[in-house]
Amino acid sequence: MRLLALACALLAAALIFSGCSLTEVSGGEEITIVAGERSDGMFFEPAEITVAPGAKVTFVIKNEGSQDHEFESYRDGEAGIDEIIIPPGATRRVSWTAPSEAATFPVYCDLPGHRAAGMETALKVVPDTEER
Amino acid sequence: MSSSFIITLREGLEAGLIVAIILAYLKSSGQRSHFRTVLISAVVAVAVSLSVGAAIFAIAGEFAGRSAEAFEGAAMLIAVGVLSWMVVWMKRQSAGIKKTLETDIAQAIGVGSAFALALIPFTAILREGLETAVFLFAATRTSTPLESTIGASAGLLGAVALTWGIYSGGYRINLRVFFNVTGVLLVVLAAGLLVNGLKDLHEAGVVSNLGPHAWDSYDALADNSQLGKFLSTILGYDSSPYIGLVIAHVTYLALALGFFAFGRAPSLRPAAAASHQPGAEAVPEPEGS
Repeated sequence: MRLLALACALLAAALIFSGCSLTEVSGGEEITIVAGERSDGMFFEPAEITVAPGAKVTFVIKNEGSQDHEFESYRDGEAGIDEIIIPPGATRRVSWTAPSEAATFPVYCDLPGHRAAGMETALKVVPDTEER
Repeated sequence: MSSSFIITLREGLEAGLIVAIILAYLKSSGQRSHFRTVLISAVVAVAVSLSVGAAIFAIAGEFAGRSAEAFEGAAMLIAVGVLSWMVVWMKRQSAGIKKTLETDIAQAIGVGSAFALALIPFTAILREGLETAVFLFAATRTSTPLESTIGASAGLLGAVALTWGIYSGGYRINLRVFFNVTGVLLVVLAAGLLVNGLKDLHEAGVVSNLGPHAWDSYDALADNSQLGKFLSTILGYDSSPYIGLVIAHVTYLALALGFFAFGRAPSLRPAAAASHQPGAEAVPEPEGS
């Protein structure tokens, strides 16, 4: 039993400290997105993101504002990105694989009032790489 | 998936043991003719439970955005309440459930009322079924429908197999250990649900302030990584939890596990000593609800 507990503890420590894919989010091209507030509202920058069909990407979202923000697109017909909260000053990573066909999805902060204040970006899947 | 499995395994076994207790009593008292009534009643109770579960999922589907988060958050808190009642209050009350069931059955048969007899397993199983429906709905909010379906189905199959094994006398398990272990697991699951429910209500704007973030462990274990998602579902792991959530989580765990550990334990009589009748020997009393 002690051996089993030791093995579990070692496994957990190895997973946490080795940067194993079980504990981190990565893969594909990294796309940096900045979130925050300004005098005329709230924002995600860039306001439009384009990716190729079937591409695997990792969004790196940096909250440079002074309050919590979310990054999500999970309702019916959207991109299927589960919500994640980004505390002020923190960075979060979200991996996503684009569908094989052209599409446009809204990605937004769903905290009360934030999306209405402008916190939304368009995630476009564009087949022709020249247009991207 | 794992939470759905634990829920249906435990609740399914509890419901199964109730049926087994009733059938064993009828068998030992020479009342086999009432088997049909009991089994039909059990099937109807399961069907009603499934209908209620489907209705909950259907109603949830009508909501979108913040109202959906508010509904799901409320459902999770209701599930936490139901579960807490189950593992704490019922732990104290269920010691005499076998005797109570047998007394009720004897009275129903005594007055010759098939309806009264049918009502006994129906209400007992319906209670288990409704608990399962609420708790399963709440648990599936943090996992995919496929994972939940696989987990719940496996748990139910396991419960049916265990019940049949116990009733037929071919398989014996230490029910006290089984219900204690699954009871602790359910308390841990409920604490996770409490956190996820409060988080949903906070995001819906129902709970306005949970305080600042207590810490940020995202770089060590991202809550949207594979392991992070698993721990989030099971334990309510959050890499940057609000202080209010941490306090709620720790307080709930301390109270629920404290009651669970120090509450009066039911007396599970050894199966062989419970009765001289062969049918009753295989069915010890269930614990919990």
